Amino acid sequence: MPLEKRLTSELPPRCRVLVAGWAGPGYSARIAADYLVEEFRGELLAEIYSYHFPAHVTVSKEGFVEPVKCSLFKCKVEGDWLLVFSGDEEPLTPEGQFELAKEALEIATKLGVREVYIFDAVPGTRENSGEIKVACSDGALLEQLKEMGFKPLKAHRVIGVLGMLAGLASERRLRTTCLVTGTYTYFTPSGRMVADSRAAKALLEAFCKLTGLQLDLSRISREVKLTDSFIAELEAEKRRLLKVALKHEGGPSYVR
Amino acid sequence: MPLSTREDLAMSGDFTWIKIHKEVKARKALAASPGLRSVGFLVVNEVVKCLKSELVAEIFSAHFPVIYQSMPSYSPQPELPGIGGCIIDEGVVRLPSVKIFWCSEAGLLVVVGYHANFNGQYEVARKVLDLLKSMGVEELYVLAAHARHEGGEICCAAVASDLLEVFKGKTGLQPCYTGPFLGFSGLLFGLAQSYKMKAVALFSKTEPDYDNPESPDPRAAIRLLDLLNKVFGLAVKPSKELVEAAKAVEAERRPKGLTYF
Repeated sequence: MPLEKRLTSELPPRCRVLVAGWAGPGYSARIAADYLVEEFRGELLAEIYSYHFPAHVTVSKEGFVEPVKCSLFKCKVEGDWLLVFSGDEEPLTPEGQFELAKEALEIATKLGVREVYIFDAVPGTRENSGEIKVACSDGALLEQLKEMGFKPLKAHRVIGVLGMLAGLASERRLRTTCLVTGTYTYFTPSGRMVADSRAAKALLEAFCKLTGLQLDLSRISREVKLTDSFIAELEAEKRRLLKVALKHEGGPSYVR
Repeated sequence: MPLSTREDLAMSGDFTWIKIHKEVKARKALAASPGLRSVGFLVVNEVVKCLKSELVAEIFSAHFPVIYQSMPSYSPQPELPGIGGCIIDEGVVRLPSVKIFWCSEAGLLVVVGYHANFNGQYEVARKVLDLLKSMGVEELYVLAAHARHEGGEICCAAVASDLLEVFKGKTGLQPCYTGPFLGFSGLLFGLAQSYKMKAVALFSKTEPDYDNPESPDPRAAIRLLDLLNKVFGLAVKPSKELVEAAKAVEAERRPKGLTYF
């Protein structure tokens, strides 16, 4: 079996909801999933390792080594339990993605999960960052979501583990909703990606609207402001450098 | 709703599983997948649409990518397994699948194929054939295209010489295509022999599109549809969209300004 599972804490008695968010465009789905774990003080329930993950390990700042893995957290929320499934890297084959999704779903259904929420993001512009569209397991649920003001996704593919999870959960007749946000990926001049916290916040707001959960969003709101001012500073610096470069019209003397 | 027994069995085991929506029996089946110029795929979709067919079974597999890394999708490579996931269609999530429809008017099963990656192509083809066999299928007609200059507009091939002779006598068609028959449809055709099915392949002549080998050729599809109507006594009228697409292709081929064309 090319999959290994390590349970790290006791199984919760019963869960209603499974949420999944993996690293992807703008990192927004992963940020949103992590935010739920942090806000609800989630506890690591299980780690899953797959032979289909990329063949490398990560060495941390502290000098520890970590294999590629994905994690399942349990969070106690308003007397109920919530499961959060997240990971950084995708298995490299559809078979590996399927196995991982199936394993997570099996744990979730054993714990009584009936609702699955998938956080996903599609690359877009700065203007549509945080614009949420939805897809779900059946037409009746879609109508309910439309009544709540959500726009449906016409044609799309949710790829990787989350796509498999959404498809398998729908096949098993679980109430499945994909929340897909537009996301804007900004790169610094040194090529580092700036995570899109605005899109992450939009995912969390949509999730709270759908589930009725109370979540303090003040911390991520501060992140959004910080990100905006950081990007504005970088843009101003870029403009300043461009002006300086344009002043030297003839270019350097050694270029003939 | 509880899952059916057959589905339960499959989910506990391997990567490919069957979901039966309705138990039906039929002697004949048509099959195609999005292969060369998607000719067969267009035809089976037209048949399904026109004859108001009912979805009776689906075959799901972990080997079905939603994004193919190999080009074309019907020529899978071991080092390019594709990316898995789900398809969203008008706001509803679904897993990719091979679909089997039942056309009660014509007494036909229609298999609308989906290409597995390299790891699963034989597994999926066998699963489909297992299912067709259990549904009572004895004759399988696989629809596809060929891109040879010589030969007729439609040509045929069969899994056995006596079967080929009978089919040639019945339809006047001749075999003209020699070479590989790739992907889901090719395997279904080839493996049908070991299931003791009478399998015939019908190839409609097309022109290859090297940039996008799966881009549809509606004219070749209409030609094949006409033949099916004659052979099976069907009354499938090509849809308005297909006829218009064929006209558009024809108009594009005609050189502008040359009146004698």
